[in-house]
Amino acid sequence: MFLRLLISAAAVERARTLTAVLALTVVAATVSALLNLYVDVQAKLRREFRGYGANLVVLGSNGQTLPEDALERVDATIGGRGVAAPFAYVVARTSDGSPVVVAGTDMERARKLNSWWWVTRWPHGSLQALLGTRAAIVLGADRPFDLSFRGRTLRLSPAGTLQTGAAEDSRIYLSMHDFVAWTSVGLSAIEISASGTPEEIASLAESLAAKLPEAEIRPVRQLVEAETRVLGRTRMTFLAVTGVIILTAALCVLSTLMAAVFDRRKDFALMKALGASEGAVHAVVAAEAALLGAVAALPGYLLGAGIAAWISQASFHAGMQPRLIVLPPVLAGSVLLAVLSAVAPILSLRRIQPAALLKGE
Amino acid sequence: MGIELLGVGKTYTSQAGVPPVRALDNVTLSVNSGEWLAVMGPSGSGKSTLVNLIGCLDSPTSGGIVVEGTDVGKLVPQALNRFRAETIGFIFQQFHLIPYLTALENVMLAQYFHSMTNEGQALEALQRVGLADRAGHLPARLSGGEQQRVCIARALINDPKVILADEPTGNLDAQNEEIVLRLLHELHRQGRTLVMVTHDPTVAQQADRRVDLSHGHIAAETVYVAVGACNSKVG
Repeated sequence: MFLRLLISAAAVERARTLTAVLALTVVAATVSALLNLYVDVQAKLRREFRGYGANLVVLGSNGQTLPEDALERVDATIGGRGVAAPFAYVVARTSDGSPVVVAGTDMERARKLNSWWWVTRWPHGSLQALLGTRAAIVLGADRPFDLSFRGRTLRLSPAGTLQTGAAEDSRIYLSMHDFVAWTSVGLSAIEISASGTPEEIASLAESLAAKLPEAEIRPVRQLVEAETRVLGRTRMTFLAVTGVIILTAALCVLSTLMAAVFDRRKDFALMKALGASEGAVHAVVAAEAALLGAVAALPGYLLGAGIAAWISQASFHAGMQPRLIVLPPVLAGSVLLAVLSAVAPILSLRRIQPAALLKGE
Repeated sequence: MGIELLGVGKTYTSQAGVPPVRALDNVTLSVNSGEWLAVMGPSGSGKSTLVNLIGCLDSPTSGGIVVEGTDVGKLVPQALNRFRAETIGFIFQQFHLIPYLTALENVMLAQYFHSMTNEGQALEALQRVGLADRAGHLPARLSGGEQQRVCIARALINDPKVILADEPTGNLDAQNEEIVLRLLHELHRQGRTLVMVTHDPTVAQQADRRVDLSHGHIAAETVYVAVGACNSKVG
């Protein structure tokens, strides 16, 4: 009977029911989108930040080169939590005697580490070079060129150009194998892009320092701090927007339920006349509100998952699967909000006097 | 047993500056168990207030009311709800059926707030008022007479000892009035106590006794006997 009462009331008050369900669906969709994104966005933002390059740099102490097995030790320490690329630097001379910074690296690792670099074509073979755009202007990017270092000359073919807007634009990059064979200079630095919270990065730095006591571990503080700030602001923005939407929807549900209770005050007066206790009448209104919340939860969840996927695609160019684990909190939140919105209408029921509302004439 | 009102007064107070309204003033009245009492009087004389007080929908400002041996003034709200559900059946002039429930569900609603619903019993109650074939209809699809009969079925479903009818034929045509009065006679024959408010002297004559209210007082009492009437003025 109770269920019949709830369903019949909802069916007959279609416009009001629809208004309340729509408002609750908006809340459910917002909460669903928030929860779907909340975890995912942090992971995606961290991934985006990792694309902006290293957040840790390993350098030889007092300008010394790093030991030969330094890269292996770094790889073993970071495990699968990031990527490390070796770098070695010398200042060489072009055929006209101009100084130029030449860097040796592992091209595959450098590519993964600096996915934000704008490169026309990465070198694939031996004696191929990647030219910074400013260096390419000096050397000419379309023909082989010579570089000399400590009396040894090396002929290189340009594979492509690199543009970063920073110091890399003036450098020439070769494979580490060609670089060492030509200069006999060892590893200068290992740049690491590791994923994790700022605390996890700090912990990783400590581990690296323990594994490489002869090296100096430097966090790239600007990047770490920017990452922390952006993540914090993103979280606050999500919460603020959700708070405003929930408040607006709650007011909408509150006014809808208030109007519904006012219009049906004679029905509630009749229930009291038939022997219903205050609690029983309150339960009818609270259950109606809970039913609306429950009905709104599923479309809200699906809509929210769609919105989250769209945001993910638009902002991070990556799709996102809806997380089923989000459904129970969305359902609970939607029902809770509906019931909380029904508190004022329920309190207004106390003022209903059956004697006054049911009398004849 | 039956109903006893002893020096009952009811005063309605509204906002400051407006004088209080005395709806009932020191009314003393006895209704025997199984008696059918008609209450008449002009608008504002206190008829509905009297019925609401007997039905425990309102509480008196002064005096005491005993219904079927229970001093209702001593009952706490929860016990009063239970007492009302178990002892009293209401028949309203405007029917007051829940518009989104069918005739059957409206009858079952009274069962629900009393104890447990029983669809078979509810259907039987509708059958008794000749509406078994309209059980699935919403009130909007029933005539005024049919709605009043559903209201009577709802009043009967919990087998109450006291039936309070506030203008039960006030909104009905002659044909439906006759049907409803026949049903009230049947309730009376079953031994229930009936208190019926009416404006219609012909309807009042169906009762065992009639009291006339004026300005919150009992102005006259008329006892009807088997055929015809025996009038007696009360001071």
